[in-house]
Amino acid sequence: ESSQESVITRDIHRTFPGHEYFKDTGGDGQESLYKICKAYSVYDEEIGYCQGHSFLAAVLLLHMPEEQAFCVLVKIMYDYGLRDLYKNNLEHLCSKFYQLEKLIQEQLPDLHNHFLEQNLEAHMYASQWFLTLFTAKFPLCMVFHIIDLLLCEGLNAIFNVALALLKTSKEDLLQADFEGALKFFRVQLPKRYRAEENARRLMEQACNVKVPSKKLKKYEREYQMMRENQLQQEDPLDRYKRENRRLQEASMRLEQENDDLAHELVTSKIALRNDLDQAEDKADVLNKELLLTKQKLVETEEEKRKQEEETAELKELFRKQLEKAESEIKKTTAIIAEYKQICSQLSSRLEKQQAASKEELEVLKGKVMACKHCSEIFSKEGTLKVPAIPREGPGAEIDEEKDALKKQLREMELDLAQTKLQLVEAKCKIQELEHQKGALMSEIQAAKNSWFSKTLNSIKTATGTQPLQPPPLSASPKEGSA
Amino acid sequence: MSYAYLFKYVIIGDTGVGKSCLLLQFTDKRFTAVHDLTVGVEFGSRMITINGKRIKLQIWDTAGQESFRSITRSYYRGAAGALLVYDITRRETFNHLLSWLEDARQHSSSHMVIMLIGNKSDLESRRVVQKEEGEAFAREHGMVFLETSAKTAANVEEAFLGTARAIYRKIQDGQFDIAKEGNGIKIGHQQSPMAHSGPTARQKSQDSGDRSGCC
Repeated sequence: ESSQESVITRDIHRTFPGHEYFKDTGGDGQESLYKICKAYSVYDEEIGYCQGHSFLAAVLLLHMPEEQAFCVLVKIMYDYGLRDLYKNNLEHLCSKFYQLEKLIQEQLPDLHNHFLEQNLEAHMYASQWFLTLFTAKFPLCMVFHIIDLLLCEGLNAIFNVALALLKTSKEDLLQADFEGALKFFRVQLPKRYRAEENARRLMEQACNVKVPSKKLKKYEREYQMMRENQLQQEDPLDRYKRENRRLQEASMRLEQENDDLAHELVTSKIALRNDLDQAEDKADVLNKELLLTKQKLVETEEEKRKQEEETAELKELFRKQLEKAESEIKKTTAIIAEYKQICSQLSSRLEKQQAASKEELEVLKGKVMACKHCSEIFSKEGTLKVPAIPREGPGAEIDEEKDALKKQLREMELDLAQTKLQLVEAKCKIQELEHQKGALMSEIQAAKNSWFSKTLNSIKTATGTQPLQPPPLSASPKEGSA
Repeated sequence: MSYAYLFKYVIIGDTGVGKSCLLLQFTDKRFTAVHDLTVGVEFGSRMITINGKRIKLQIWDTAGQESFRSITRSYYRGAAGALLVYDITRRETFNHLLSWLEDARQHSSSHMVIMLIGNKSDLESRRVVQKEEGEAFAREHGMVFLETSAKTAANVEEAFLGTARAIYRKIQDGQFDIAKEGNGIKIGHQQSPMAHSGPTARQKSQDSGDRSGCC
């Protein structure tokens, strides 16, 4: 079957290679042609594919789709009897040649004699005609007419066409020798019918040729008798010898074939064994690899699980630290708030004390002003005014009065000095308080800074790559003023 | 043109090995990559010269398919030489040689000269049958062996001429009974005026030139 396939493939390329539809390798034409030939080789197991079918199939394909072409091919082969020509080693074809020669003898006696003289036998020029039904070499326009005639008249129309071809070429053929005649059949004859007029005349001729079926049958019987005589005339000893030789050769060939096949069997068995071994080795290696990979997978999964746990722990840790940090921030904010309150309390107390000391000073000033003497001595601004010493009046009285006044003055001055002292003390106290406040401020600042950096660092180390932004300060301490 | 001898050849071998192309190369010195499929038989002829003697070669080119063997067989009978061709790029065509050889030996005159031809030697890259195998097969079966290329014409001339020389030698040695019909040899008028059923006068006049061409 496969050998038929390769023969068909080979022949498809050589069937009408000049024709547009069939010239392309792998083209539609060649593909359809291949399908038909292949299908026929399967359909007809006895005959199979026979070289020459492809030409007939190609001619049919030029007229109809491939399925129909196949059906018509089957019809021509079976019902029209073309198939019989191929049976029994083309035995029937030889009978057709005999019939043709007899017809030539009867209808073209001079040509028959000429052919006899030249030893030109029908199988030399008519094999291709009959096996391809004239499709292989003649111009297609004429081939179509011939096939039409065959389909109408049956397979015996091949004699009509063959005789018509010989009749129309009689003069040329009578002029030609053996080689010339064969060349004529091969070259000039197909060329001649490229002219439509010649083709038409040939078909006319073919239709007019008389091929009585009775005579054909008679010739066929004659041929069969001749064949039988040939076989019987042969010395039986010769026949047996030949048969024996043939059988011996066949036996030898078969033995050789058997040896070859046995050798092939052994080698292929060895090769298969080797292949199997190799495959098994490979399978072992692959299995090992699979096991290793599985183990690795388990390990990797375990590792993954551990890492997930670790991650969870870390998350928890971060969460806790974050909470801690938040609570610390809250605490610190509270402390800051408390501190601010203290500061504001302190500053309000300071203000009150300042107001109190001012008031006291005012009272003192008022008292000083209320006193006649003192008001003379002190200006409103508190500067000392020295009264002009009166030169006239009683000296003693004046002196006494002067002394008393001086005494009073001294007391007053003392009083003033004490008040001033008190003022200074108050100022000192204020300054001290202020100082204390500054110290406290810086202390708080320092405390805050160190706490922030500490928290920040702890968070930083906890998160590693993710530094936490310090929370915005909700209450930065204001610079207090005294 | 007259000739001393006429040798009939037959070219045999599996389908597609290049039988028709070898013939075309020998007769027309042409090569076509796609040659028409041979159905039945084709014919070609050419004049050659061996030892100063003009020899006409008539060559039958046969169809390779198994089913045509019965037709092919009728051409062995009248052949003096056979070219048994295989394709060096296709192993099966080499494997079938024995069956071809048996067929040829059985149906031909025992003196028929058979030359084994490994064709398509230009396709060296696709070679599957080694030259040594062809040589060994030819030696084993008493044949002359050549590798040819119908495409490049390598050894084509030598294949046909070598076969003719071998036939000629056999004639000289008296192995061929040339008086007997059906051994594929005819004596031309030039050689023997009293020849049997030899070429006619008309044939002589038509034999103009060395070539007469092929399909």
